[in-house]
Amino acid sequence: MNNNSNIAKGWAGIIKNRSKSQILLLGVALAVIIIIMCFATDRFYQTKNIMNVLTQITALGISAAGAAIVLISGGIDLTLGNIISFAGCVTAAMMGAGINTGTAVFVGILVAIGCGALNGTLIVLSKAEPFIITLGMMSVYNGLTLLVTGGMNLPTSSDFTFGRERLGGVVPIPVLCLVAVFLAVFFILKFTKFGRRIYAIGDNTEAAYLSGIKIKRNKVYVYALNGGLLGIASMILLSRLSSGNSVMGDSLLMEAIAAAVIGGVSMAGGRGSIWGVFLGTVLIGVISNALNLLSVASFYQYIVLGAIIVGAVFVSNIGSKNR
Amino acid sequence: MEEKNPNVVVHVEDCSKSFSGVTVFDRVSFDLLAGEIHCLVGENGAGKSTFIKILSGAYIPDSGRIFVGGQEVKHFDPDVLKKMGVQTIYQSQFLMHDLTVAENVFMGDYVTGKGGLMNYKKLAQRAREILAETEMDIDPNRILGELDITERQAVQIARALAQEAKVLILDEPTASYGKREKTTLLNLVKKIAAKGIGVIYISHHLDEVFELADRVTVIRDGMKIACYNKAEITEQQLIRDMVGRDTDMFYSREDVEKGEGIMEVRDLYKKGYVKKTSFKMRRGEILGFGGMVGSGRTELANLIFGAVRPDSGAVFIDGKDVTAKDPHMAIKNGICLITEDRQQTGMFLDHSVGWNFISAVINKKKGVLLHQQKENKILEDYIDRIQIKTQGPEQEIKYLSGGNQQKVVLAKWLHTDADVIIFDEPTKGIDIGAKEDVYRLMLDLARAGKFIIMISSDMPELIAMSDRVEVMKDRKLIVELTGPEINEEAILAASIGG
Repeated sequence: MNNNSNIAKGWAGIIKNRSKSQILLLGVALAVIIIIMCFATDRFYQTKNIMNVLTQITALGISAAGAAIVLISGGIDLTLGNIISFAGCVTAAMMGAGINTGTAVFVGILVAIGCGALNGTLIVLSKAEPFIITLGMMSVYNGLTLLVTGGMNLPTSSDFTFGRERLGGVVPIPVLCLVAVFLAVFFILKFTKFGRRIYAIGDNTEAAYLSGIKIKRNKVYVYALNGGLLGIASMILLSRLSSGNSVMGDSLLMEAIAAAVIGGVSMAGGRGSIWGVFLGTVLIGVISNALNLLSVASFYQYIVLGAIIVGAVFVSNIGSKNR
Repeated sequence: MEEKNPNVVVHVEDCSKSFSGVTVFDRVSFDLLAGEIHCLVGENGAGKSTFIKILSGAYIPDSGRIFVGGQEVKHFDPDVLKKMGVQTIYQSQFLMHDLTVAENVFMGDYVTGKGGLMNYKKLAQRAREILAETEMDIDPNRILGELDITERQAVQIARALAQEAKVLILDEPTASYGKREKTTLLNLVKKIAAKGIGVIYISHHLDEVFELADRVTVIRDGMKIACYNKAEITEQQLIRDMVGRDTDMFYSREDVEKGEGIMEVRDLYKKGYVKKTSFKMRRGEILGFGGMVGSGRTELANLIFGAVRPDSGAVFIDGKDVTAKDPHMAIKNGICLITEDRQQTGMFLDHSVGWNFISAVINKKKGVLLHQQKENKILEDYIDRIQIKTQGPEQEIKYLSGGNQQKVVLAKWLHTDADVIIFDEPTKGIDIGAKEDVYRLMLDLARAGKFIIMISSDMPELIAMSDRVEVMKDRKLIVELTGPEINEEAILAASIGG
């Protein structure tokens, strides 16, 4: 419905709307990279490579969706990677103890939801900045993870292979999970009261409170939902790695927040769309894949990723009037 | 020529200021003598703040001349005027709570020794000398946060003295003070003046004016109405000067038949916020709340709406207890509050008209889903009914004019189908046409048997729209006016009278 009015307003309307213009720019950037890569190497556009890229970005994409929800509500959760590691290691440890796969996965996801809800509860009760609370909790969850693993690699059970399987031999199961999660998050943000409240709290907490939104309760829900998504991401990652370790989620914190911000989610809260986050995730995946195919050393890849984040934020703030 | 009189520290000559074509300050002349306490009085919005902002360099006057200490002000800039000796102390205190008294007194102007390092000993020594002038016993090494409010006020005054103030402007300094603190401050002000500093003192409390003033200037609608010496001041005369408005500024409304139901506020109270307050009203009634800004009207509204939780007391509609512990509960109980500050507390600026429209109602009704499209159809009815000028529900609210934004906020609250509708300054900052639409809507709601509470600092509006007026002062109801008693003089006398 927004599309129609935007087309009517033309370019001016799109440029006025910063998050939409950023998504557009992102799409263009992505298309340019893809076209260049198609000419640069003949391996890039093969189905196998495309499915590879998509599989590689599933855990990232799902955690980026969680990070986006928290950012839209005006918060931030730095424990993202630690929750993934913790839930994954709990599940792996349970499998190692002979508990059946279904139960272990179920408990793993519950642990992630619990961690998220705990973060939210602490933030609400302490009235402190989410940044500092979750910074502290990073260390707590990291310690708990080390307690569970004892610093060891924990192998998963042999029937825990869904992360490596493909539907009809073509579409990897993780990619289906990614699509399902994004559809669900889209539905929540767009069509439910809860989704609306997330935006309202992030946009103007005072006005949201005076409109009858229970701020504290909804914030806890937001962090718990984030936990749930991280739990799913953790299970996919665990299954792909076929073992859990205490740092398995570590690199995802920066990449997930980067994907959300590149996708137009505002760090100040209240703005952002899940499709932007999807494009942001794909962009990170494609660039990383492209650099691999072009045999660029991984050290350079870090620099490129960092530069993209800074560049994206730079571009998105050019239109803003803030001094 | 008066500016040649060495005793004149501030001389204002035919000063005017207008904003987007509206004159808010009109050819005002004014004098302040050294050692004089000159009080400024006037209604809310009369132009006192504009005057202070011009004198402190925050606004540039369109015409007229200003002399400070015999020197003409050529360049209007807060720093320039401070250097010329004009120090303004605002209601909100710009002090650093974690620094010492001495550091606060010399904020940004520290005593430094070799290499630009702080010399705390010297700093404390000089602060002690300056604080001694205020005759308040304050240790310069104490942390500011530990001081009580009068001591902080003294620190602010000391800071002004440290910058060699010739003129001290105090804007409503006693707004949040108790009786004892008030006395301390008034004595402090007298001492400062006795040292030869000219004091401009703005207050809504005539008793303070009577105690302090050597002279009083009355401002109304941006014009200087009168200036009296101490001996000539009477309360009646001041109020008469502050009022005096043409009757054709008043909107004329029809009467609405009152219904059976009763809403009662019984002993509503929160410590340091609102004193025990009770009132009753009938369905179809428009109950106006008058009083000066800061008298506790918005605070009372916040208690009724649960935006701030009351310590004790209750609210009843038709005998049913509807006391709210938060806005969520108030909305469920059929109470709504249309706040004064739309941008900060009423709207979600980044979102569409339709989005804003349902931002309250979704928290009243049960259910998981939004139904934005269905709600937009209902919004179309409101757009017609209260004539909201918008491209439609999809348009972002920030592109609407102030009046139309206010109408969207009204529609948002009407959509919750509330029984009690509290309007806080409903027409502030909106144009005449939109104002009349709001008044018409209020009457429609009265006709539909709602309870309507209207807080307004706009006298013509308050008088024209209210069936009854409750006047608040010092965070409590002070007088109730009905029928012919509702006039500007009566409201003002109650709001500021001694």
